[in-house]
This record gives sequence, C-alpha cells and structure tokens, in this order.
Amino acid sequence: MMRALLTAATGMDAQQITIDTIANNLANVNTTGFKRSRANFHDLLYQTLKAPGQSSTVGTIVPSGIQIGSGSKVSSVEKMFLEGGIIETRKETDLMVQGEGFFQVQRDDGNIAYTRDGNFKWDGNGRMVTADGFPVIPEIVKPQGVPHDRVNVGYDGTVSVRVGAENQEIGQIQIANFANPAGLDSLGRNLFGASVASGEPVVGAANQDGLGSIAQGQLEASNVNVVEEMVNMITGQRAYELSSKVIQTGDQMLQQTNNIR
Amino acid sequence: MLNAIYTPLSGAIAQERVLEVIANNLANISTTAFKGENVAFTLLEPEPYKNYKNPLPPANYKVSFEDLMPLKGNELSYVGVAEIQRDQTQGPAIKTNNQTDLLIEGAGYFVVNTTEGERFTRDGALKLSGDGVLSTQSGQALLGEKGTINLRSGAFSVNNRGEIYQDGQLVDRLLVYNLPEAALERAGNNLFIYGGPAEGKQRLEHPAISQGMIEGSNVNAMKNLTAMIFAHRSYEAYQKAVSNFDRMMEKSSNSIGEVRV
Repeated sequence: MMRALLTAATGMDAQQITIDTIANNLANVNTTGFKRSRANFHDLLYQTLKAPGQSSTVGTIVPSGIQIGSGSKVSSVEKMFLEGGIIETRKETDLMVQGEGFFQVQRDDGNIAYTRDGNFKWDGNGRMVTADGFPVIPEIVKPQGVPHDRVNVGYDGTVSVRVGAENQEIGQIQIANFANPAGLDSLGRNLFGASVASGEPVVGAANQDGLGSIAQGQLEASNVNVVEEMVNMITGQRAYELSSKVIQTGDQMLQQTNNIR
Repeated sequence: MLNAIYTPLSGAIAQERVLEVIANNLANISTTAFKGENVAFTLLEPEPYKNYKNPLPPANYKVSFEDLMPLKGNELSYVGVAEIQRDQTQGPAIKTNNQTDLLIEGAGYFVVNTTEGERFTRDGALKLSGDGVLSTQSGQALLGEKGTINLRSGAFSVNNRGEIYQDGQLVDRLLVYNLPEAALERAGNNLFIYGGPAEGKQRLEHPAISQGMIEGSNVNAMKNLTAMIFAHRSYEAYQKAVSNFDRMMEKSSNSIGEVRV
C-alpha cells in the first residue's frame, strides 16, 4: 500500500517538472533565439516477484510474470534546437544564423559562450557586442565615422563597410556547431556553454561545411509554439491530478484499514 | 472460523497489488513508449493434507493437530496474483519534428548497448552524445548493423527501413528486433531485458521507422481510474468482511460463554 503512495508521488514529481519546463518555455516566448525544452520520462526499477519467461514446469513458460513498477522519473530536460521564426528588423547589427550553428561571444570571465541570439550592438570602442556587452569572437571593430547603413554582413559572415566608394573588409563572423547541441549548458542571458555532453565546438566560416548562413537585418524568434505548450500543460496538469487521485485512494484505503477495529 | 478471516484478507492484499500497478501506470502516463499493465488474479486452493495410510504413525512420532484434523482442500480458497500482464498495443504517435526522435510503427525494439549487456527499448526519444554517438536519454548507445552509430554535427535523416543517412552517405542501419513479449522483463529506464531463447530473437527485416515522431505512453487514464475505483471499493468490501468475522468471533467468545445468574 505504501508502495502505491510512493509510486504516485514519483508521478506527481515528474509532472511538476513538466509544468516547470512549460512555464520557462512560455515565459521565453518572445526571447530572441530561445530554444524550448522538453521533459523526457522513463520508468523506474521494477520489483520482480516472478520473472517472466521462466519455466513453470518442463516445457511451459510463464507468459507474463509479476513485476511491480515503482513509478516514473525525468530522464532529461532536452533542449529542442528547431529553428525559430524569422523576425525582419532591418537593423544592420541584427544577425541570424539560418541553419545550424552558434555565434561565439566572450564572456566577462574570458570564457567563450555560444548564442543563437544575433541581436548585436556597437560598443563605445566600435566592437560588435551582445546586449550585455560581450564581444563577438573574433572581434569585429567598426572604424570610426562609418554610418550604420554602410555596414554589410554577407551570407558567409564577411563583415564589410563602405568608406567613400571603397568596400573595406573589417572582419569575419565565425560560427560554431556541436555534435549534440542539446547537451549544451544553458547559462542564461541566451548564452550556452560547451560541455562534455555537447562535444567540442567545430568552428568555421558561415555557409560552409554544413554550418548555417548569416542573414543580416533579421532575428531568430523563440521556437516555442504556444499551442503546443498549452496542450502539454493540460496533459501535464491532468497527469498530476491522476497521480494525486491515486494518493487519495491509497490514503482512504489505509484509513479504512485503520477503522476495521 | 479463525481461518475464514484469511480469505477476504487475501482479496484485500490482491487489491493492494492492483492499486500499486495503477499507481505505476498513472505515474508513467507521460513516459515515452511506456506500456501499461494490469493484474490478473487466480484462485488459490489450499492443498489438502496427505492422509496417513496407517491409522497411527510410529510410536515416537509427535502427532500434531493438523494430523488429527486434516484441513480438507476446497473448504477455503484464496485469491492470488497470477500475473501482471503488459498491454502491448502501440502508444499514440506524437509529432515532434526533432531529428533525433524515432518511432517504430508496429512491432519491434531498438537494441541498446549497456554495461550490463544488450537491452531493448521502444523509446525513440534519442540524443547525440558529445562525440556524436546516437544514444538514449540516459546516454546508452543504440546499436546499428556496424555497432554504435557515430554521427557528425548537422542534419541526418532516417528512412522507413531504419537506414541513417548523413550528407547523402549511408552511415548505418538501425538494428530492430522482434521479440516474444512473454520473455521480456522490465529493467526500468524504458529498457527491457530479453530472457528467452536466442532463436526467439528475430531481426526485423522491414521495420517501419518514422523520424521526427515519438511514441507516447499507451496508458488509458479513464480505464485506470475506473479500475482504481473498483479496486478501492473491493478493498472496502473485503475489509467489511474482515470486520464482520471479527464481530462474529467477538460474539462467540463473549456471548456464548457468558455465565448468567
């Protein structure tokens, strides 16, 4: 009896993580370059009272056996790297990776972080930086006095400015990709960090070797689908409710047992 | 009289098992490719004591109460759990558009290489490990014809036959086995252990695999809730029977033997 109570509790616990994940997805429905997460579940260990497939007598096999499960558990909260929608902004420093790959930026602690959020700006020194002021790596510096409508970023990530009648190349945006992007470490601020699970970054110029191309004047919207999240929230809530009903029933059964005498 | 109380008790214990199984089903209502279970009961008849051929055992033999008053079989019977049957029907197909999500339509199991040996699963919510190995959410590698499946970063496609292509090259073909359900033991983590004979394990030549989909849990909430109410009320009835037996015994011990002046 107590086993049923504990099993149902694991179900409620798992569903709570679903709701937590959905809450974070929905809160980030307007976050540039955000990737939604999904909670995956697996069943827990089984108590085998009688193993299936054993012989009961010579030549016969127990068809099912008796195994009692002990609930469910979140096996992973997996980030889904599907591409989000395109938001046309026409701003020269708004960049989007179309296809696979991440921009590289240097955090204040010196480590490289990766982002799909191409909402960049120029800082006081003319460097291309994120909204938090982290510079894009390799650094791209706009010469003094070049107006913003004279900056061009090509599909391959080449950044050039036009000074007078001359085109001048000022840098190359490099893109990093991973064997398992879902294994990246979420650092907040739209940044990801490389981890053992994600593998080492493969860095290269955009639009080459399977890396995505760069689109200027566009941003990548969040890939959260509100309808999908709402449906998942309904199923998550109901599943939570079902497990709570099991606890209620188990409780009532125990109460009756206590009232036998 | 004293024995009769054990018959409803056996029923109540069996109903507890039912609640435990339902708790596990409902806790796993969101688990990928989970298969629900239900309990089958059996009638347990106590075997009658062997009758002595000779009227009396040898002189130094200690005669017990049961020898003198053998319990006849079929006088009382009990309920026991015969087996816990797994519902093998396919769960709902859920479209995710995620390239590492695979669904087996119809029969078949993926082969997972674990440290304890081969395991089988229908859970196709996969991921790539840091070094590009196609694996389950808990990080155990899936097996193809050539062993573990190594992929580079970037898009790959899996066709209906389970062949994995990346950049137009055939990487490997997923191993899919058809296994007799009776010989599958649950191991938790959405994995099964195959305990049957080797010839029962057959390679599925024409599996039907869909990429971008996963198989949901086949647990039916409605069915399980009604079964739970049923188990709850049966349990209640058994307890009523137990307390009635108790009251009868109370009567016989207190009223029948009462000394009246």
